[in-house]
Amino acid sequence: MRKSSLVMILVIITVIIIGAIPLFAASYNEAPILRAKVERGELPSVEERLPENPLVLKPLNAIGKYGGTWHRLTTWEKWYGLRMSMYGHSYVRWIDDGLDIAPNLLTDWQPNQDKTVWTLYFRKGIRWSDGAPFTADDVLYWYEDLALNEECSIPIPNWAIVGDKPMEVEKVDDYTVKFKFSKPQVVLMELLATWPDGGGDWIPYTSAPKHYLSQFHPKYSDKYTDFIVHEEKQEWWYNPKCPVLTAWMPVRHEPGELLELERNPYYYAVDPQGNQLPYIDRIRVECLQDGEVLKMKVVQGNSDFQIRPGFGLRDISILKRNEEKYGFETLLYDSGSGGGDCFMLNHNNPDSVKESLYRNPSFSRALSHAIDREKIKMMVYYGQGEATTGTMSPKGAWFHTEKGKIVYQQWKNLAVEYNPEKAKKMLDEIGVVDLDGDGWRDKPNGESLELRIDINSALRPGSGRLDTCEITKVCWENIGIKTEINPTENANLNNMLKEGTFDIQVYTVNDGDPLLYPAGVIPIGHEHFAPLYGTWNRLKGTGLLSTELDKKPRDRTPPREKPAPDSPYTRLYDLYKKALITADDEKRAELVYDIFQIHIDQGPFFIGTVNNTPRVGVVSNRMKNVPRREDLALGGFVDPWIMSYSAILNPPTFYIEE
Amino acid sequence: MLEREGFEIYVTEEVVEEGHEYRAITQFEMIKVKFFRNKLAVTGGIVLIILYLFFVIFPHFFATNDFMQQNEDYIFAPPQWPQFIDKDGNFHLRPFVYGYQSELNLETYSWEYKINYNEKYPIYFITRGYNYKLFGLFNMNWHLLGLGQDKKLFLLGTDRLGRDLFSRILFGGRISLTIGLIGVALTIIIGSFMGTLSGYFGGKIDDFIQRIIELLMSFPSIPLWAALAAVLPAEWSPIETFFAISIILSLKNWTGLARQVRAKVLSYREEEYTYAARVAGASDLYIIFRHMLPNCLSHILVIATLSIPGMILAETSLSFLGLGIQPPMTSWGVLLKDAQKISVVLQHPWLMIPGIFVVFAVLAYNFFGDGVRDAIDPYSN
Repeated sequence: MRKSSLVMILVIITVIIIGAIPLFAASYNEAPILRAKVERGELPSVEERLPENPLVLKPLNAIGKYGGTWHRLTTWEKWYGLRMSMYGHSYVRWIDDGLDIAPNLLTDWQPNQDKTVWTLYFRKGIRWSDGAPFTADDVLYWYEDLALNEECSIPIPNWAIVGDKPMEVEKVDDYTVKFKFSKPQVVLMELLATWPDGGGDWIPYTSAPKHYLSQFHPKYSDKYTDFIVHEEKQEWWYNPKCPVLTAWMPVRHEPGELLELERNPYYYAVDPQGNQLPYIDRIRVECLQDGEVLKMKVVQGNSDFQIRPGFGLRDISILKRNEEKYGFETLLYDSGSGGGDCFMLNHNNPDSVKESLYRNPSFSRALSHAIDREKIKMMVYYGQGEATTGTMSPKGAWFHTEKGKIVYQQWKNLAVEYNPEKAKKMLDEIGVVDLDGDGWRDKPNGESLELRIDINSALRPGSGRLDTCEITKVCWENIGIKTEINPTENANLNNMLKEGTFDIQVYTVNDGDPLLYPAGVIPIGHEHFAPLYGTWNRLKGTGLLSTELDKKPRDRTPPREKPAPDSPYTRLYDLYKKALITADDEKRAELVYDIFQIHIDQGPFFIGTVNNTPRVGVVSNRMKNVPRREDLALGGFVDPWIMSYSAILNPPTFYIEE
Repeated sequence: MLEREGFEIYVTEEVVEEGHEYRAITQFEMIKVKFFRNKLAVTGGIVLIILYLFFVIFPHFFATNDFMQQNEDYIFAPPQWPQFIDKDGNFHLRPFVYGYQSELNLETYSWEYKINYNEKYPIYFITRGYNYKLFGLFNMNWHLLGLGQDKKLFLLGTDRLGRDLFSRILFGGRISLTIGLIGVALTIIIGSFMGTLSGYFGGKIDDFIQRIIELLMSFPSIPLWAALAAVLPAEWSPIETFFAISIILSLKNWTGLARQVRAKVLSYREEEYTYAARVAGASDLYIIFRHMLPNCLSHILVIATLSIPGMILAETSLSFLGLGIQPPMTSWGVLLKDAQKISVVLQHPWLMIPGIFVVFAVLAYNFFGDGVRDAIDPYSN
């Protein structure tokens, strides 16, 4: 892929810049509150606190002023919105909406010829927020003492397992490690850039403060025999005592109510003039119980900047009306969503007649042609976005090449045209006609046909998803297919997905690269169009796969079934697995386009509606250096969580000016 | 013993005087007289009759639009109030509405409506509109109100999919007003049966039933609901869930009635006529159905009328919390859930109108029930 050469150029440029800065700016500047501490002798000087080559972050508009408190609101007790806003523990970071990768903790990285061994060079002299040096030992501690330890709940990240074997980590010196894989790991840097690392739930850990956490580790401490205390202490967003590498460090946590953070005096980044970042002294995140209360508070100007937890397009008018009164601005970024709300027909349907219907591309294309996407676009999305059959994100790098552009158009236009007559004709051809004369089409075997859209009942009626379903229901009934919307309790719905008993689920496909986040496109795991096959594929390489073979697929734990070798479910998975270990950029691209081609030839496997609709952000007038849509390389790419919004916007360079 | 009809007939024959036809009025007539003296109760009753006519029996006739029809051109349209005086100050006997057009304002992301004063649509009474099936049988297209032609009248405005709110309130009421009836019917059957059983037999049966009642009463409602919502099979359609909900609602609600009936039965079973019946060799079943239940009937009726509004409110609040009836089905609770957002309060306040109907229905039932309670015991003062 062309990325690696670009990355190299970028690395060289960065190294030159970084190397040049100390020559011109021999000394660094720091925040007044830190200088006071230095003068009182409570802190070492800024030169001692910063690494040899600090990371340089360029502010969007102006060199900022120190001070102030960034107010945020959330409804998530796990503080996801804030954690997604801080690159700190990440080795590398996305820049330009994911078009490229820049150094963060690393200054450089070097794969060997076949990309089985990656040498990573860490920035020398980085310190944890308590002043202890960050070294290769912290990486080894995370990997060998936590991730590889089966008793510890920290999992081995997906990217570390290639060829069904976890990687090995070798310490070269204090600032150099080698990741060794049994097969080529070709997208390591991209995968390391996904999510702002730091751990917890689906966000991977990539290091851990050994000097602090090892006191709770059974291997290093006699006091503990299990990881219960360790697991509590390692969650830095709950435990202000746990050292961090983020720009701000938690200082006060009241569970479910408040999280207060203060600037990390050891944060390793500076602006081009040598001012240590971040500019803003404090962050205060308040947790609210109810999303509507949050909106009310944001409307009254109580949030300085936030994208998540989010607002819907229907909230924009209320935001806009209060902008002047409360001094804030409503921002619209591109979501980058590939299909909006997509309908996924269950290819492992418990009803065998429905199953064969759903697998028939003519049927799903007929359903797709029946949907009036322009109507959905107007009624749900205020005319924004583009009608689509449902693809991966149009922002994805694979669609930006010559070939990619053609593939994207083919996929997007596959069955996007609103043509009920064509849909009816297609249904007639495959024998889905009204056999009993009740006005509704029946299954080819004469049984009555009724589609059931299973959606989460906790969705508020104002969320666009229910509206999309209600409009689609009318569209499908217009071509004679009876449709029912079935709002289902969330836990029940998850069970239906796991057991493959849902009929049609609604899913959003947001991501741009199947190799980074395959959900929805490759059958892995149960959350997509062929849940039983997906579970089978996910368990490949584990011992579980050969057990329970005498049982029926649905009676196994977890329910799973082996897909036929020549079926698209196997082919998609095989292509994906092969692409992941293909070191040659051109060959890998071929494999990825083959994946898309299967979707075009035998799909749609998910019937999309409207793509790339706007996402709403709010910024107060006193918050500066916040990029607008036009400042971003792709206008935004907010929806895939792996794109790390809003850490990608460089919050340490934001500043407050009253 | 005045309840016994034979006795009253006997009295009637005794008191006839010459020239005048006197007769003792029956119990039912006394109830009627007392009830009709209570103006509030009568009003409540009339409102109820109107509500049920409008909402349950002929909703299609009163609806101005198909309540499921989505109108792309009228999203969040404000109410069209019928007017009598036009903008030039001329009075019209026939009410009319001005036409309006929607325009998407992308500055503010809102649908703006411009009233077109050149388009004046008179409102016709009993006119032709969309097609429907009366009682699910006869094809009809007559409606009470309409603008004629293809023009649509949105009396109370429209919702986020451009569906007519007035018609949705009518059809939402059909569910909200009937779920109460089904639930109350079940409550009464279970409650009076268990209460009579408990009071009449006493002893271990009584103990057992009372403990069950206490157990059910001590269950917190909302968590129980949340659990039930998770337990109901996910594959059930909203209509099946709807019935399950009304059944489950009554499975918890019968306890209050059962206690009251038990107390009544406890006193009736010590009455002399009960002893007499028993001595005469009547079976327990005969005594229960001939003496116990009829005696409790007035009480049960009162409980019934007073608990229907409770059921309506329960449905409304449960749907509002997302535990009861779910869209795309329509009930008043579902409509109010739509109004739960701040954007509605500030921008589309007409979506809160269903709340007024809930208040109306509940008040009407309460007044009616109070009147019935006062009237059913005509000797009390």
